Amino acid sequence: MIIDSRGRIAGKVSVIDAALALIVIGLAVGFAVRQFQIKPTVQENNATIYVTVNIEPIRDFSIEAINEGDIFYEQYATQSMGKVIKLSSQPAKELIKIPDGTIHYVEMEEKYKLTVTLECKGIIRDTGYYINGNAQISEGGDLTLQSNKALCYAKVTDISEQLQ
Amino acid sequence: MEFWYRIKVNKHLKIGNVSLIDVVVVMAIIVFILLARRFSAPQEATAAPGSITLRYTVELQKKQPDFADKVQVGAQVYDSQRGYHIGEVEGVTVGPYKEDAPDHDELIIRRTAIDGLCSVYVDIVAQATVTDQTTAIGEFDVLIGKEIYIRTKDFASGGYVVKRVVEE
Repeated sequence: MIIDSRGRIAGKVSVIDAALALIVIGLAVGFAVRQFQIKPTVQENNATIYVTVNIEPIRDFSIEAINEGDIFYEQYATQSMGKVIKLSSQPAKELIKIPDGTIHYVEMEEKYKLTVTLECKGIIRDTGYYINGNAQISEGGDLTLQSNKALCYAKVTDISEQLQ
Repeated sequence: MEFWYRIKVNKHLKIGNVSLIDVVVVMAIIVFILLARRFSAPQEATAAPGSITLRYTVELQKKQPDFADKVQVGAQVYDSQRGYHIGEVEGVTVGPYKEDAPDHDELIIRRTAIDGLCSVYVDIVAQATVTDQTTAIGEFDVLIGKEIYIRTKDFASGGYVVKRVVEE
C-alpha cells in the first residue's frame, strides 16, 4: 500500500507532513519566480504618435492642474506616456430625462470636459499603436493618467501620426 | 564540526524523535515570516532626502455643519488604509456642499447647494518629494483629483485632493 494504516506514505512520511511540505515549497517557488522574474525589455521607440483624450467631467481645480508641457504617465507605469502639447476645455455635458419623456444632452454647471493631446513616442505595428513599445492603446480605450500634479481618468478619442 | 557528524537520519526520516519534514516546514515558515517583515509596507512614511514642503487641501464632502469642529489645527494626519503619516493639519475651512441637480426648464444641470450639509476643506502640510511622475510623502502619492482616506485621532473620512502647493 502506498499509504499505510498509520497515514504514512510508504511507511515513512506522514501524509499531512507531505501535503504541508508541498504547499510550502509551492509558495516558495512562486515567491522566487515573482521576485526574480526577468523584466520585459523596453523596445526602442521610433515613431511620434499623437494621442488625444477627453477627461470629463472634472472641476476647476483639476483643469488648473493640467498644463501644456506636463509629462503624463499611465498610472503605475515606469515610463512616461507623453507630453501635453495641446489642450482645450468646454463645459461638460450629461444626459437628462425630463418629465415629458424626452432625453437631452445638456451642459453641467461648474464641470468641464478637458481635451488633451499628448505627443508620445512609440511603435506602430499592424496590430496597433504601442506607446513606449509596451502598452497598446486604442481609440475608445480608458486610461488612468497621472502627472506629478494631478490624477485623472481619460478616454482616448483619437490616435494619429500627424498633429490635428 | 563534530556536532554535525552526530546528526543521523533514521529510516523513519527522523532526527532523534523529530521528523525531518517537520524541521524543513518550520524552517520555511520562519523564512517566510522574516521575508514578509522585510518586504511589508512601512508604517510611517518618512520624508526622503531632499524633500520639499508640500501644502495640500483635501475636500471632505457631505458633512454635518459641526464636523469641522473635529478638525484640529496641529493634529497629525494618517492614511486610513495603510497608516502612513501624511502630514499635519494647518487649517480648516467650510464651504457649501453641492450636488448636481437637473433643471428641466432651462435644460441644464446645476450645481446646487444642499441645506444642512457642507464641505470641509482640510489644509495639510507635509514634507514630500516631487519627481517627474508624482508628488509623494514617502510612498503616499498626493495628486489633485486623487481620492484619499485620511484620519486624525478625532475623525476619519475620504475626500479628494483639490489643491497642491510645493515650496522649493
